[in-house]
Amino acid sequence: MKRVLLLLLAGVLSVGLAACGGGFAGYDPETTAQALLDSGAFEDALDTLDEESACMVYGLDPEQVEDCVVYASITAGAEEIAVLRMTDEDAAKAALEALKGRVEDQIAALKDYQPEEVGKLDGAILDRQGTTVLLAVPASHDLAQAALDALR
Amino acid sequence: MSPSVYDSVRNDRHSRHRKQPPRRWKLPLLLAAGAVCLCLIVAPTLGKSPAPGTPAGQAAPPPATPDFVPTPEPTPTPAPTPTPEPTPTPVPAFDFSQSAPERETVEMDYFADALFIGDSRTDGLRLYSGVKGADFYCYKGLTIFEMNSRKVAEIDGTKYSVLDALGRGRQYAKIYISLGINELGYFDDQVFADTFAAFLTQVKALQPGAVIYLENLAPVNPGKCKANRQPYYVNNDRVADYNAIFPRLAEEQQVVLLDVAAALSDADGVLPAEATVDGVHFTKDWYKTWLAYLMDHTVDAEEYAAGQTGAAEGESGS
Repeated sequence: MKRVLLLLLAGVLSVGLAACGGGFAGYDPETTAQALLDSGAFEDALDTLDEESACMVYGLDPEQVEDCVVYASITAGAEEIAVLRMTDEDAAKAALEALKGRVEDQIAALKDYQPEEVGKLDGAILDRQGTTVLLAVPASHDLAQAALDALR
Repeated sequence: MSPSVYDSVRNDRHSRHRKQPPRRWKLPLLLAAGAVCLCLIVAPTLGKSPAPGTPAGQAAPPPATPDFVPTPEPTPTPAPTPTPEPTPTPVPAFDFSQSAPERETVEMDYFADALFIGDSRTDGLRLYSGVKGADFYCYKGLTIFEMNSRKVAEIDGTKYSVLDALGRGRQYAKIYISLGINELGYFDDQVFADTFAAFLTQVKALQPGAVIYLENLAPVNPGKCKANRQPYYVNNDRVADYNAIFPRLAEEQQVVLLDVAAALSDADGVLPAEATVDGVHFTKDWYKTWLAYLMDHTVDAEEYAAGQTGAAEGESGS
């Protein structure tokens, strides 16, 4: 009887640990993007890019993108959301580097054109979880980060 | 003499004449036969060799009479009437004093050999219109004054200025140019026009096979510009100043003017409020409207080429 109780206790602890974050499977593109939009962290007018256009902007191979949701500013500003699910971790690592490059390019482009936007890029959120990759360039870093934390 | 005796003598003479002609008839006959033979032998040689004493290379005078009977020429067979080759229909030359007319809508693959050069508006076209297959040399804030300096075009991982890239990269069949909104605060229209003209000349030289489309400026929305604190010079009076320059540039440089302004403005000649958020850039739907206009207003490459006379004038030194 004691042995059965110990096994049950071990099972409950395992499930609890998984629920506490060890089981985060990465960013679901649709859910994550919507959570960021709903967070109030973005001030600019954003609209969606289709997958082909997103791959062109970030320099990604469309064959390595399983799913993606991308929003960019329609006023040529800095704010942006990109959540990508790649085919494997190597592709995800390469995509993260591409997103870092996008931030650098935007800083270079906007420092003369809309200098007030550069601060947003300085607070850009870049992350990789497994095969998923995230870029968020919000007006409010804190609000965006809180929305992301809530997904974990 | 009695008839009998006379008849006898005459008959005797006649009989002798028939049987044996007298000797004085033979000689002329022989002479005549000899003359005929001589003529037959000598006649073919007449006129074939120069006369003695004729200088070398100088033809002998023609014989007074033809030395042979010319073979009658065969009656010419009437030649068949040649089938007239179809006259090629001359390609009409495009009239560069007019903007591109509306034509049948092209398919998206029309842009597979197209290049777009422009500023943030063109970048919006790239991102939101749904255009596929084209290349873009565009950048936020790009101006006509930076075509040879700002490195905005990437080829094989290296960035070049627009003009450098046009010389190094692929040859395009269509090149769309949309610049000017960032130059509204540059209050020297003549320098703007001259710089644009020089750029168009260089583009044509670097991309001789391309139809060059020059897009005029879509207007702005004054209310949205004010609300978004756009610079004071971002207004439709300045847009109109430049839009007065573009038709002249198009005609002089023999490039195709695209009247984007008419396509993207309302009845009052302004950018509709619902088409923009900040007064300058477009909404996604309006970028699609822009692309639809481009797909409806194209010029045939042969008509474009037929209208080119500037090269000849340039060669003549004018």
